[in-house]
Amino acid sequence: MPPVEIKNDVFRAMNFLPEKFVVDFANGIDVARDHIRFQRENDKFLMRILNGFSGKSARRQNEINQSLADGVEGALKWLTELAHSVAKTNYALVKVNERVAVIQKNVIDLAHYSAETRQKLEALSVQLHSRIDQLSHEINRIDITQKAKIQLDHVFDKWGAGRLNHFSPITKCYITLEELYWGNFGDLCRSQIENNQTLAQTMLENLANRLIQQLTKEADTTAQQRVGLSTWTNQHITSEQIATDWIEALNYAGDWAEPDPHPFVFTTTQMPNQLPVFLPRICSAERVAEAMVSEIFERN
Amino acid sequence: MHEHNIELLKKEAQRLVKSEASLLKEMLNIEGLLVDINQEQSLSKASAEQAVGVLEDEQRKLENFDMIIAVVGTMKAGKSTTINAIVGSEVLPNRNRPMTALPTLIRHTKGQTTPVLKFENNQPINELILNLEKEIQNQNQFKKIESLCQSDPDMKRLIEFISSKNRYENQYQGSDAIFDFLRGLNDLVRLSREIDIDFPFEKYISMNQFPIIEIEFVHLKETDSNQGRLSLLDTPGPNEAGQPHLRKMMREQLQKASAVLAVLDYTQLKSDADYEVRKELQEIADTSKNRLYAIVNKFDQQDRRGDDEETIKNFISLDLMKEKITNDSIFPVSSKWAYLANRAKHEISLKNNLPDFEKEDWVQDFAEEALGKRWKGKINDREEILQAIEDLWTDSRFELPLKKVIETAHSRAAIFAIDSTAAKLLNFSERMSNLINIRETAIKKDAQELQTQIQHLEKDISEIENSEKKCKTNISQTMISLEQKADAVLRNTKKEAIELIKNYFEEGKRIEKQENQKTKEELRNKSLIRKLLSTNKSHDDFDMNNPIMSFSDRSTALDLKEKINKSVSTVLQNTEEIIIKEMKDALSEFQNLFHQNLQSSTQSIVERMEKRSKEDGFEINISIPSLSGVNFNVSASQMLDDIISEKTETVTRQRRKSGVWGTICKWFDTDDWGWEEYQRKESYYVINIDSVHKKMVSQIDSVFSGMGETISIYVSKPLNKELEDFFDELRKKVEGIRGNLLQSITDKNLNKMKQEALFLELGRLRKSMPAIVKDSKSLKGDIEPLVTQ
Ligand SMILES: Nc1nc2c(ncn2[C@@H]2O[C@H](COP(=O)(O)OP(=O)(O)OP(=O)(O)O)[C@@H](O)[C@H]2O)c(=O)[nH]1
Ligand SMILES: [Mg+2]
Repeated sequence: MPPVEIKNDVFRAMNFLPEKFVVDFANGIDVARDHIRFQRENDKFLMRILNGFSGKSARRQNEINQSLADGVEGALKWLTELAHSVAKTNYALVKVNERVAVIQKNVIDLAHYSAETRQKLEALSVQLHSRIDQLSHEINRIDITQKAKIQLDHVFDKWGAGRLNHFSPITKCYITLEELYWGNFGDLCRSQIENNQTLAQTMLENLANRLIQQLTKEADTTAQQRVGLSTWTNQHITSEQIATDWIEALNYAGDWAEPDPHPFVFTTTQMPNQLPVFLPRICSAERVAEAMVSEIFERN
Repeated sequence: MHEHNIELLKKEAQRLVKSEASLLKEMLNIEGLLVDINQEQSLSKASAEQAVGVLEDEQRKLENFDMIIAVVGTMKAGKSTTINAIVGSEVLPNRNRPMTALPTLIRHTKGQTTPVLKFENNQPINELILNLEKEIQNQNQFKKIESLCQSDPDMKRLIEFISSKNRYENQYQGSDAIFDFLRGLNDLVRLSREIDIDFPFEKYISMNQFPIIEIEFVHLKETDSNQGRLSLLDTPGPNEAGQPHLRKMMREQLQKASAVLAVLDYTQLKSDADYEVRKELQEIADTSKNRLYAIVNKFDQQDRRGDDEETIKNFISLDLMKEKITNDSIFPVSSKWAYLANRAKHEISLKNNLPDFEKEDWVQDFAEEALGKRWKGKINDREEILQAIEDLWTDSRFELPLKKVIETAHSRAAIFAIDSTAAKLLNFSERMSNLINIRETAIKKDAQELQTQIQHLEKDISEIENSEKKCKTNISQTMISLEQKADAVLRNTKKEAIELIKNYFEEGKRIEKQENQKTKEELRNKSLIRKLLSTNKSHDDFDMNNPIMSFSDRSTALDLKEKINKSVSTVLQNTEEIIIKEMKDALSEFQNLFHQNLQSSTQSIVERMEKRSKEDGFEINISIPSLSGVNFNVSASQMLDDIISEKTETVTRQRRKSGVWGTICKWFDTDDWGWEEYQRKESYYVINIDSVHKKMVSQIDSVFSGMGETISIYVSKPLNKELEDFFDELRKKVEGIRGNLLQSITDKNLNKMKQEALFLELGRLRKSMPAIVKDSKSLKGDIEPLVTQ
């Protein structure tokens, strides 16, 4: 099987998408009912992502469909490949690993799974462990704090350089935060939350401050100046095709958000016709930044 | 702020109302969270339910707030015609004598094509009628009644109405009935004045006491009903009755009105410029800053020789209104044309044709104005008429001022509605947040710790109470010094007046001396008999110490009297101005200081509380209640007016001209103050200076004797009320927090599982709290400056 390649523009802007996809894929494997949950629930976009990862040849497409139809067996095959060639971040690997552990346990309980399945799972688990070890080894080598800082600078540079320019300020803010959440910055933050609550708090405050800087620049306001919500949400997408791609990508990226606890992310990614009641109609850069950071970093 | 920004603030307010209502409902659904106990808490079950109701109410008000455009103006300037023009039919009588007796609301009511007048508050008038009925039967009044009936058919009709035991109804349907009602009301005011019975004006002070006419305004037929409920307030002309109650009522209405439309009469502009009207207009402008428009009505009367538009505007803004209004808020219009055009348009839209001009007078008026002298030939040409309507409307120049005044009314009304909502939102959000935070935190604390917190809070409460006491002392001290200041000014005034009288006395004596000498010479040339006849001791002997001055020449005496009169008046007028100024300055200085002190002293108590609680793990939020401030600026001159009017009312029914000195002038004429005219065989005239002196001092004393009481009514009472409200609110907040803690101790009686369940629910709710409190606070911060603007 040739390694999966990512070409699409959307994924270049949102590096975290494939990571999320792999984790979702792993979480979607339903051992008890022997199928992939997300395939039924989610739309064509996921298939497109999958195709994007797997090249375009029709033969290849059939192969995927075939193996997905095979239920857990086939899915495992895919998960192994995705974990190998798509998942790059520690966070995604850890999440997949957690899921694999659960699957392993479930498979033991269910008699109809073959020894082969168990072996495959074992192999995957070993592979994941070694990747995670490798990464943590690296992390130890290069200071994790340093890495987080590099990532932070990188995503803000990307924003500052205009890479995200056809998005609304709030979408830029969202993408930036998701990148950080999935990446080294997120890793550091999560490890801090376990060890030192106040340090984590400071990290997030600093993050909010950087967001405020960018947002005020975007809207030409001051940090506390209250402006209409549309100042933050107005989009500048031009091309139709890109638009649907982006919309689908955002829909998928923020599919975890719910209107009440995550009004900002929900609005940004799900673009509902009716705005959530907890979403302010007038707000300052500060308000947007603080809400975004807390919705994304304090999600469960 | 721009219209669309206000729209945005309104949306945000609506959004917050929804979120808070849903949070409150959620809280009500959580078992064991909100309870009714005998203790002030941030929220009880009952108060949360009430809060939901309040929020629903606010939501409705935001959707459909009342906008009131008060139409004020000089007598017969065309206020009622202007209103008819906006409504598009003749809802208000406009005849050639004062017609509007009581303020009347005309409310745009969608779908109401025939007007209906509602008059819930008819009882005071019916009581008046009962009194009048008795009085009419009184023999002493008989002559007067009879002559009234003879000279005035309207009066006759009214007296018959009263005598046959008719009473006013609650409701009148259709223009004719409304017309009769309003005319009758006006006649009633006149009749009570004629036979000296007080009209119950004081029962007609606020909007809900006035008669209301509901009708669809043609002009607004097409507009969105979500833009608020528009009412026009027709007011009696300022010179109408001049009753102090009316003035007071006017002031209140103007303050409440969302916009004010002042109607001036183009043809009377110069004569309107007398002192009285000017003062009235300027007062209106002061009260209704930034929401005042002036229309210069009857501009159709302008001829080639008349002043041009710019000159008129300048005259009004600079001269008449003393720069209290700018040129771009002044519009020359013809309300009559606007009314005729709008009414014609309305009729045609209803019936496709104009009514028969022989049956309805206005059609003829319309035709003459719109089609010219030879209108009869064109009156049946539909096309021509439609065009003429458009032209007449354009020529009336009514569109722009109408649009502006409605816009202003809309945004002012919206601002007020939003402000009221924002205050409630902030209050509820804080209370929710305090309850949730404390109850959640408390679950993980032991009872002992909670007790300690409660003790702390009790100390805070008594500290707040001390602070209130201090502020109260502060107010009463200021009041004392204010009274002392006013007293000092008064003492000075008296001294000055006495000095003046002394001077005139000396002058009078000089004149008397000269006259005496002249008389002596004349006497020498007269017959003995004449000498004998004219014997009069005081007349003969000039005595500097005799307080009586006598003059043989009437005009000399009158001159002197007039001089004394004028000078004393000037002194008193100055006094009035000085007292007003001193009071104003002292009060605004005091209020600033007072607010600062109040805010900073309580701020530090609250900050300490918040900080201490936070250290102990409790997150609480207490915003300092806002102070609206007592508005002394507008009422300073009115304050004095009221001192006078209340006094004079009991003394004499005469209307006061203006200011204190006007009243004094009246006394000089009406009262026995030492001026006597003796008419015997030979006339001579006496001024008793002692008597003048005494009378004047006692009058000055009596005029200003109401001062202490007035200061108390206008200054210390409202200040104390403001203070009490402020501290009540603050204390209630802190007591609420204490109550939350007490309830938390009760939570400890729940079993572990229930406690844990409550803890989880609280944790979930807590997450939305900071944002809600913050957004509510910000909204209040956004809207507050707009309110005071
Ligand atoms: N020429 C002319 N006359 C007008 C105009 N508007 C009103 N009038 C006349 O002015 C007189 C007074 O009009 P009203 O509307 O009763 O005035 P008002 O201000 O309501 O009067 P009061 O309530 O009695 O003080 C009436 O005879 C109207 O016909 C106008 O635009 N042009
Ligand atoms: Mg009138």
